[in-house]
Formats: sequence, structure tokens, C-alpha cells
Amino acid sequence: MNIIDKKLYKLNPVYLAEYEDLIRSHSQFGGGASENKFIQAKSFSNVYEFYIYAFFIGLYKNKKVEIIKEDKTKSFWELDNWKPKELVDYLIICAIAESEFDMAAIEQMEEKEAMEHIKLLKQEIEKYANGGLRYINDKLEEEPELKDDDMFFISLLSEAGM
Amino acid sequence: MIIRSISMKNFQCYFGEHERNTFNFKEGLNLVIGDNGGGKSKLYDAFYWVIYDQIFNSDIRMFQGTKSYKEKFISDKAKSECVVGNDLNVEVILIAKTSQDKKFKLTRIYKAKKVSDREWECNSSSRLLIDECKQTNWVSVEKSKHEGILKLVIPEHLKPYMWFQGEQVDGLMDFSDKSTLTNAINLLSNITMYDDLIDIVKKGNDTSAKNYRSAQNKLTKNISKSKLLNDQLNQIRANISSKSNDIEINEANLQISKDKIEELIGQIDDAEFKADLKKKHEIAKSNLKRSTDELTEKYNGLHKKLFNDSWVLKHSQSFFDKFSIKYNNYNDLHNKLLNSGNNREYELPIDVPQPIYVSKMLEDEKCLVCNRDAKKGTEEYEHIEYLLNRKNKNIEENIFINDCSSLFSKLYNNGLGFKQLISRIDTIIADEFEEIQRLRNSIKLNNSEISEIKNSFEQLIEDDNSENIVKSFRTHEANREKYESLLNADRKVFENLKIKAKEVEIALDKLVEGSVDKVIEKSDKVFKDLFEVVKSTRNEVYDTLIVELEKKANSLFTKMTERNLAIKGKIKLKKLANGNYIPEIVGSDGYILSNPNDSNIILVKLSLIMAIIISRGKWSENYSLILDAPTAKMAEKYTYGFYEALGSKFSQSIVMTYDFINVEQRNLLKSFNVGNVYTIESFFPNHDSTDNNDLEVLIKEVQL
Repeated sequence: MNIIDKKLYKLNPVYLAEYEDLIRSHSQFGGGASENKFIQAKSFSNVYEFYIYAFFIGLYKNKKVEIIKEDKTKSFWELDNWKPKELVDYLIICAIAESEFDMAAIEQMEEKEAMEHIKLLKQEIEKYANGGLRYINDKLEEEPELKDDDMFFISLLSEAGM
Repeated sequence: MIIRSISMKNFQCYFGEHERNTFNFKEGLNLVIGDNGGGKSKLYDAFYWVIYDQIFNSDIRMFQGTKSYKEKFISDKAKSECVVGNDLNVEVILIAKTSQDKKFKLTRIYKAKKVSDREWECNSSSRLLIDECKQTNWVSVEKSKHEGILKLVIPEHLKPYMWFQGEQVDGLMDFSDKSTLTNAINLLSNITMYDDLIDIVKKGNDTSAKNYRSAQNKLTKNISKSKLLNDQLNQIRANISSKSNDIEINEANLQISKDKIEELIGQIDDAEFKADLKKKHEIAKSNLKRSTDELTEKYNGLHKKLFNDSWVLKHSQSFFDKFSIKYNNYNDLHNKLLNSGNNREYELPIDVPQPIYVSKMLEDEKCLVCNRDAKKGTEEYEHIEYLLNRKNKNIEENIFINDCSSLFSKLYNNGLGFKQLISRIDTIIADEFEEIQRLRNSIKLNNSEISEIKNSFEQLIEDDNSENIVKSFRTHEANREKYESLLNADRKVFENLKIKAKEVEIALDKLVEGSVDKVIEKSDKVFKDLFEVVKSTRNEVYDTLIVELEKKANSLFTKMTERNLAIKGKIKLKKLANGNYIPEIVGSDGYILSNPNDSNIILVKLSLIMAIIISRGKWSENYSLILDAPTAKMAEKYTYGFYEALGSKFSQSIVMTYDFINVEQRNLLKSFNVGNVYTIESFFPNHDSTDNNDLEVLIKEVQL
């Protein structure tokens, strides 16, 4: 395993702090939530599940949100801890496909430069995941009754590629 | 104790000395038969007075002490014959025997002095003497032991169930009071011991949990976070408690709605159609529950399928194709660099094909890729040998700073592996949705069937009853739906709160640095387990008691009603949401009998009272059942069953009654387990039945 292999799975994508409530209300968090979160069953059992889902929605809908330095963000777990592993690899495939990541060039880069280059993947993942989160958030704000629809996330996926 | 005899002297209508007012009793059913006003209730008063120094005042329906009764205790005839200035004694003597063959004589005496024709100077209290039979002599028992001996005759807590008058039965088993049966069950069992045990263990559990938490807090590595979590935990526990109360209230309300619906359905006359609808209703309800559970399970698993079954990759193929192109380009470049300096323009990567297959080719002298011969010594053989012995040029010459070929190859192969699955995701999702739709249709169908059944019930009620009752039915149905839905929501929140409490407890555990004292930790665990065990044991014991009580009450009920062919239903003890039980009479269709007659109700009450007593074997064996006019509200055909049950279930019963007044009826008694039978009647020696000053009671023993 070379340094790229190691660093790739240590990437720790973030989400914009403004989507904290959205994520908390749909995925099981590690505590500190109000009683309300228990009234509705959670669609996602982990934040990374919601994040992966949002990434693909952003990707399919071509919704991107660039995260800039000034943005207030929240981090959670690094890719190494996300599951299922095969799905995480598929997400990386898509990030490589869509980004400026140069597979051949990185093989010739010194560590520092290579680390910077890998960040392109992190940014790509964040771009689509936050794009997906914004899309989901907007949908729920437009039609608040969707919050009670058990099938909302499945339906959104069905229409995502259309 | 088993009562051997009772005798009275000048006690109310029983004028004269003990000798003329004595009743002897044997084991079995003892009867004192008399018409109204014949002295039956006065005899019951005598039993009560000798033990409790009180008699039942039927005018005010209360027991009154001697002090309130004063000279009213004394026979009018005795009072009229008494000369002014003389004393008069009122006495009752009861002789009883314990199960150890100890015989006691209890004598209660009340004294009054006639001071003028109408005035009496009365003692404020009566006097009790108790003697014990030693061989052939009566020996006085000291006063300090009186109370213990009185309790042997009839224990205080059994008195309401073993000594009562017919008119008291309603109060004793008041079905409108939901705690009546619970009180009776508490009496018959040692269930209160379990309740006490639960209280004790709960206190221990609370204390040990508090100690454990406090020990943990001392070891916390983050005091402020620990405080925050503790506050959170307390809040969650308060919410759990409050939610638990909500659940209790909604369960009680739901039960009320269900009871009312059952009651209204019970009023429908068409029993066959009603039973058919009930059966259909049960099937539809069960189907509805099954489909709803399956659908909930499907919904719960649906989001997991996004990941576990990779549904989330539904539209991802084009992105993989894009990656494939990128990977292909990379591969070309990578290999070009790897092969630079070689004569060959294109070469397979190192270890491709895998060395195991290349060695096999050399062994077989054949290329397994193109299936051509590669005999040793030929150019082909040498080429294969070259493949096996190639050195990793990258390692040797350091062509790549970071060789990512394995990583990218792994990603590519992984993506390739999803290709088939992605092409089938649409079909898989469609199948899943088809199944969900099937379940939804089933729910819809069953709901509509339930609704139709409800309408049929409504129609039946409308046919049989007034419009108001139909309105009431609709209201209770709406309430039932409302409370069911509230309960479901409450239970969901309750369960989630419990999960949340557990999560916070785990978070608190994680803050602990070092380990809590083993004794404190163990104590917390033991008390937690013990608390669960005592609660479940108590409930099991209680439910078993209920089953036994219901069985015994029904056995008595059946025996008492077997001579009457009219529909009488059976006793069902229904559990209420608050844990209490109430008795109901249900028909063969399982619905509550809408208008059970008074006879039925009194029989249910008596069956339950008797079942409670015989459930504790020793009570029916060791104590005498003393009843005054128990069959007052009972239909004649039931009474014989009742007496037969008394004779067979109790060692001794003494019943004052106007049944069997008719001599012919007494033939029936021959088949019962009968002790002594007496008749009593008012007797006026001067033939003036309006003159109480001439009243005596004539007692005759009946030979069957």
C-alpha cells in the first residue's frame, strides 16, 4: 500500500453547517439531540449513509455546491469508516470520473503535491454531497409535508436520473 | 371455627331463657327456615353481636354498637314482664370448636334496669365472657386472650365474605367499583407481599443506580460534559415517566371505548348474525395487523436497501463508463512508462498472467492464452520464461514515485463488479414496490371490510334500538380509533426515549476514567435484574390467580344454574388497562350479555365470593359461612343449585332463609349435604299478633 492509498481513505469530507438540522433529523446521531428526533423513525442509521446518498443525488441531478474557505462546515467520519466499503469505492470512482484528478500524473508527484492533488477528490465529493443536501433541503422546504413521507428518499432517487 | 350452637336469652324477639332459644349445628348445610318477620335477621344479629358487639341496623343500613341500641336489644315481652326496679339480662351464647378440637363458649351479656314503665337505666357497654372446655368443665379464659379467640371464630378480613346478609351483597361486590375484585383478590392471595417486595426492590434499585452514577461521576474525565449528560438523562427519565402516564391514560380511555362498543353490540338481538360479523371482524383485524406489520418491516428495511443492495447506484453507470475511459488512458500511459526502453511497444503488467499460470505453461510447453505450442528451446518458450522472470522495473528503476496501479485496478474491478447489479436495480426496485403495493391493497381491503362490518353493526343497532344508541356507537368507534392512534404514537415515543436513555448512559460510561468499585457496579446490576424479576413474577402469580378464580367461579356458576335452561352466559374476568379486573357475564358469542337479569348478577357475585373463599381451602374448611337471606333476589330455580353448592363446597354453612317454607320443597334437601334444619315462626301466646309485648319465637327442628 502506497501513500496515496493510505491518504485517500483518510479523507474527511465535510458538510455545510447549515445542513446540520437536516442531517440530524434524518440520521442517527451520536447523542445530544432533542426528544423530537425520536418521534420520527430515522431513514439513515449513520451520517455517512445520508452523506453518500446526498452525494449520488447531487451527482445524478448535477447539483454542485463549492465549499470555500469562509464557509462554516462540520466534519464527521473519514472514508475509512464508511460502509459498505464497495459503495465507498464506487463513490471514489465517480469522484475521479468527474474531477480533474489525474491518475497518471499523481504517480509522478512528490508527497506534498500528491496530497494536494488528492484533495481534488475530497472537494469533488463535498461538491456533490453538499449539492445533494441543498437539493433535498430545498425540496423539503418547498413541500414540508414530504417530511412525513416515508418514501421520500426512495422516490427522490427514482426521479434523480430523469 | 365450626359453630356448634347458638342460644339467646331475651335477645330481641327471642324471649325467655337459653333453653327455649337454642340452635344446634352440625357440619354441612344448616338451615333456619322462617317467613318474613319470623326472627331470621335477629338470629343473624345474634351471631354478629356476640363476636363484634354490633348489630346491623337495616333502617340506616349500618352496623351499630351496643351503646346506640341500649334497651332495644331486649325482648319487648321480657321488658313488659319486668317489674320496675328489677334488672334484665340480654345474653347470647355461642359454642364453637377449632380444627384442633378446642371448644370455646362465648357469652355476651348486656344488663339494663327498669326504672319506670317506659324508662330503662342501661349499661353503656356489654360484657364478654369466654370459657374453654377442659375435659368436662368450662374454664374461664383471661381477657387478654379474648381477641385472639374471637379471631379464631371468624377472622376480621374474612368476615365480609363469609358472614353477610343478602342485602349486603350488592355493596360487597359492587361491579361499578373497579377495585372491588382487586380487593377481593388481594384478600385471597399473598399478592400484596409481592407488591411490598416490588416496593422494597425498587427502593434498592433506585439507590444502587444513584450510587453507581455518583461513583461514575467522580471518575469522569470531563466534568462539564458529564453534568450535561446527567441533566439530559434526568430529563429523559422524567419524559419516560410522563409518557408512561400518557400511555396508561390512553389505554384506560381505549378500554372504555371498547367496552362501550361491546356493550352496544351486546344489545343486538340477532345472535347468529352478530356472531358471524364478530368472526369476520376478527379475521379482518388479524389480516390487517399482519399486512401492517409486514409493510412496516418493508418500510424500515427500505432505506437499508439503498446501501446494502446498492440501490443508491441506480443511475451511476454513465459515471463508471466515464471512469473507465479515464482508467484506460491512465493504463496506457502507465504501461508505456513501465515498458519504456523495451523493444516491445506494449507489455502486460508484471505478474499478469499470474506466475502460477505462467509456470504451468512452461511445464506443459504450451501457451494457455493463444493455445499454441511453446516447445522448450523455441522462441515461444523463451518468451514465456521471460514473462515469469521479469523484474519490477518500477522498483528497480523507480519509474513511479507513487505506483497507484493496484489501487486504480481495484477500483476499476470493483466498479465492473457492480455492472450487472446496476442493470437490474430498476427491476428489483419495481418488484419491491409491487410487494409494497400488494400490502397496501391488503390493508385497504381489510380496512374497508372492517368499516363495512362496523356499518353492519350500526345497522343492526339501528334496527333494534333508538337513533341515540347509533350515535353513541359512532362516537365510541371514533374514540376507539383516536385512542388507538394516540397509543401507537405514545408507545413509539416511549420506546425511543428508552433507547435515548440507554445511549446517554453509554456516553456517560465512556467518560469514566478507571473503574467503578466492583461492589457498587455489581449491586446496580443485581438490583436492576431483581427488579425485573419481581415485577414479572408478581404479574405471573396474579394472572394465575385470576385464571383459577375465573375457573372456580364458573364451576360454581354452572352448578348453580344447571337447573335453569335459560341463557345465562359465563363469567369472564376482564383485565383493565390499569391492571384491575372486572367481572363480566358473556354469552356464547363472546359478547357481554346486555341485560343480564338480577338473578344472574347476584349469582355471579355469589359465585365470585364463594370462589374466593374456596380458593383458600382452609377458609371453607375451618370457618362457618353464615348467610341471611342470600337468595332474596334469586330466581327459584337457581336457589337449589346454590344450596347444593354450599353443602358440597363448605364444611359448614348456616343459612337463614324463607326458601323451603313449603314442606314439599324440603324433599330436595335430602340429596344435599344437610346438617340441622330448623323452622322458626313468630308466636303470640295470647293470639294478638299486633302486640309485640306478647311476641316469642317458636323454634322447631325439622326431621327430613
